[in-house]
Order: sequence, then C-alpha cells, then structure tokens
Amino acid sequence: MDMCAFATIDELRALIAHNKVGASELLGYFCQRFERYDKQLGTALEIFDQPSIVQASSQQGPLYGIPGILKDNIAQSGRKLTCGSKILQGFVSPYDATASARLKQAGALLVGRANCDEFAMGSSNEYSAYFNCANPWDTSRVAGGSSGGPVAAVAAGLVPWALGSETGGSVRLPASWCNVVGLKPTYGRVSRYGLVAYASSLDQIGVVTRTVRENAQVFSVIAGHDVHDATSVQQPTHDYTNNLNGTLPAGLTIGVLENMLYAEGVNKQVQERILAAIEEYKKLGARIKMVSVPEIDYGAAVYFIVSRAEAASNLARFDGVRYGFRAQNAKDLQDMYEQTRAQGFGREVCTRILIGNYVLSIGHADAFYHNAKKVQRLMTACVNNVFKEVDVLLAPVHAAPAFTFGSCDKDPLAMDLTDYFTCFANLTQIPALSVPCGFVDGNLPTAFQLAGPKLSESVLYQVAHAYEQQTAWHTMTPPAFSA
Amino acid sequence: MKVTCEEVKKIAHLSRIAVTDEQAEHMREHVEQVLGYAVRVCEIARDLPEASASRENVLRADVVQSFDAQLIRAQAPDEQENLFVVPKIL
Repeated sequence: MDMCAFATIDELRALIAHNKVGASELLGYFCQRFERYDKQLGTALEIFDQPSIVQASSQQGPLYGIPGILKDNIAQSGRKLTCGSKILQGFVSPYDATASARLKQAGALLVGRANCDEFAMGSSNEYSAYFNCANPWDTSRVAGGSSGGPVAAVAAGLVPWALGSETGGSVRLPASWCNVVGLKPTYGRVSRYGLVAYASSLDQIGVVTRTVRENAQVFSVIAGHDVHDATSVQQPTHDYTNNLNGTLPAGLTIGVLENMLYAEGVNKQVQERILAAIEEYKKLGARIKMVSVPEIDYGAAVYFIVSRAEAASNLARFDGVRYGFRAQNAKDLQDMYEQTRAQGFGREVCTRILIGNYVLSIGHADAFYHNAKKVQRLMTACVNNVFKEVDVLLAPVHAAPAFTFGSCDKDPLAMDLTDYFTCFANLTQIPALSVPCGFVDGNLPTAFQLAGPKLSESVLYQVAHAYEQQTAWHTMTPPAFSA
Repeated sequence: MKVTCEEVKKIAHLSRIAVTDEQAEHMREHVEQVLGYAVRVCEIARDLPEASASRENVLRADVVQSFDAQLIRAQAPDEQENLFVVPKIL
C-alpha cells in the first residue's frame, strides 16, 4: 500500500477498478497516514470516522473512492465548520457547499476539515486559532496560507487532492511553498455557495493537487454554474483534461511579467528557477515576450482596502446570538456582542475588521475605498489589455521560499505584502495556476504562476502540463513523509 | 498616515469588538502600517474617472428551502421556546 501515498488519482482509480484495493481499504490507508504524520504537520482540524465518510458519498463517479480534504471554510453537511476560528467553535453546518455536494456526487471521499488561517486571513497558517501547520519540506517553516492545511496534506501524501480557497492568493502561495499545483479559478467559475465569506467579490474555491492533470480532474467536477450563487458564471464547462497532451497551444505567446519578476526583494534563486522555466517554454516552442503592467504594483494596496472592507461587513454576522461561541457574564446585549467578538476572533481578524470599517467610514471612504475601487478597475483594464498581446502571463508566486515560524511576528506588514504577487488575479477576476519549478536553498520549493484571461483554465492547464512533462519537480516528495 | 489610539477605540466600538488600552495600541501600529501602505492608491486614483458600474440582476425562483428547525435551534448558545435568548438590552 505504501506506493499509494503519492500515487495519482488515475493510478488509484485503476487500483480500485481492477479490484487490487477496495475503496474502504484505500480510505483506511490514508486515514492512517494522517494518524502517523499529522502530529508533526497539523494539516487537519478533524478527520472524520471512516464509515460516515463512505456513507456520505456516491458509490460511483469520476472520483469514486479517491480521498481528499476540504479547507475548514467550505461547508460539509452535518460536520463542524470553524473557519479556523474559536468564534465558530461547535457550529455544525446544516448543508453542503455546492463544491462539497458535487464532489460527493462524483464519488470522492471527504475525509475531514483542513487547517487554515482564521477566516482565511493570513499567508502562513500561523493565524489559525487551533494550531500551526508546518511545511512538509522543512517542518521548522510555515506551509503558507491561508490554505496551509489542504496544501501541506497534499504535499505530504496524506491525500491526493484538496480544496482550498483564495481571496488574495491563499491557494497559490502555499502551493508554491510546498511543491504542489494550486489553481485560483476565474471568479464565478466555482460556486461560492457554502464557502464562508471573507471578501465576497474576490473569494473563490481553489484546487490543490500534486500534478496538473489531477488538478484539472478535480476542477472538472466542481466547476460550473450554480443558481445558489448569483455571481456564478453561466457558460458551460467541459472536461478540463481534454487538452493535456504535452504540447503547447499552437502559436502560444507567454508574457513574462517583468515588473513582478524583477520586483524589489525577489530572491535571486527564485528568479533563476523562473528564468529556467522560461527557457523550457522556449524549447517547447513558445514565443516569450517581456511585458510590464505597472498598475499591478498597486494591487496589494487595493487588496488591503477592498478585502478588509468586505471582511468587516461579512464578519458582522458573528455576534454570539444564533450560533457559535458566546462570551459569558455579559452585563447587557451590547457588552455580549463586544466580548463575544473580542474573545472569539483572533487579533489578525480583529485588526482586519477595524481596517475595513476605517476605510469605509465617513471621512475616509473617499480616500481609501472609493479610490481603491477606481484603481481596481484600472488594473482590470490594463490586465485585459495585455492579453491582446500575449496569451498567458508568467510571474513569480512569491519573493522568497517559505519562512520559519514567527519570522513575521514583529512585522505583520511583511506577511501582508506576500499578497503582492498573487492578488492581481483576484482583483481582476482572472484564473491563475501555481506550478512547481524547482527548489532553492537545497530543499525549499519554488514555483511560477500562469495567469490567463477569464475562463482560460483549459489553456493554463495545457501550458502548465506541457512544462510538467518536461521536468521532474512534480515527482519529488518530501523525504520525511515519503516512507 | 497617522492613526491615533482614540480612533482605533472608536472604530473598535463601531465594530463591536472590546479592546483594552494595550490591545488598542498594538492594533494601532498594525492599522497604521497597513493604511500607510494602502494610501498610495490616492496617487494613481486622482485622475481616474468615477466608476460607471454595469450591474445586472441575477434572479432565481423564490422557492422556500427549509432547514430542520431543531438543527438550527440546536446551534444557538441559548434558546427557549423557539426563540433566541440574549442578555438584557437595556
């Protein structure tokens, strides 16, 4: 069975189809891997009991018997849902997110709830109210965030796939630090129904896997229109594995985002790995064009304002009245609200709510919120414009590899600024895919990202897959978890 | 970009989050850092036009989908006779 830990979805499906291993046996094996390894990693907030996992899913479908884990801000009917926060302690979701329901229908086994930064706010998973999540490649370092749990679980071979969520880069950043593939879909391509809101105009469920093909397989299941999400895109979906033939689309032009690749502070080795990937693309026949979109450099500033403003509104619902945690011994209702939220939310969440209400308040909304929305529109126009010249954009996902725990404690802005490399895709609603491209400082993963026009996921997958077929990064597994 | 402790306390009150003086000071530093960075949007936004929003309504049939009331009530920190119980208001 040990060969199963890092097997692909296709390999696992073949084992089940040929009766070499039963779906329950496979589930037991992966649950044992959590038992064996997760104390060192902290990827899961809960692993469910095995009979209830099997019972919840269909006995057939494209992901039949394939275990995976969902970030704990995606609702699973009858399961706890905490968003990594104490304020939702004890809350049990009365319904399935659309993504959860589609996965269950496709036969996938949803094994548990994955750790994350509280309400998906953070870049290191250090803001989980429960425990940290370590990077399988070096457990003294962070897995990244906010989808640290889903990403580290896939990277360590505890499950072959996972769902995370993105608001400013929360799938791609940890994926890039853990040598796995992470997709942020086009806004509206995956239903947000049942995804607990952080910043609704930016939030999107994303997919984490070790290979591009597997990513496309899971995405094919969860993508599609949903009447329960008014922002859901109506265009039909298809099988996103169709184009994965190891070649690039004919006449492909890749635009290398120069202002990001040579941004201040980007690690030389990270740059070298990305330049090597560009060389690989040249060999595959791509035309490379250096492009600069300076407006993207305002992305982090816009993101700080828009995301915090929406968070302040969305998180107003957590008041201790109808569900979750309530502070005891409050002297009146007002005191109960204030104490519940002060004790239930962590410091980072409180700070983001304060910033959100500050930028929305009279006297500050014009300078901050309204200006940020104007700049967001400008960025969107500029990014759409660049796609008249190039088919996809290629850029770093991070400035440097994963940092050690506590590195940003005294400088939280440094942590916030990791969003610079990723949030442009969220702000402009386009899809982006993080692709492993090697290691720096010996054993620390790095990656590049591909971004394309809205609904270009098929192209991104094809371009990423062609590179993956020429390289072996996706076959490398963290030694401490490979036994 | 300066943010005072009083501003933080005022916004915290509006946000219904209790803060001690020490917490307010700690948050003030972080809020000031983030806003100090974010204020750069003003430089570029000055000459940009106001948004011409193109909005569309997305409608669906207004079908009631009930949840099990017991399941909802069971989530409440305090409930009685089909009502949520809260501390006194005044």
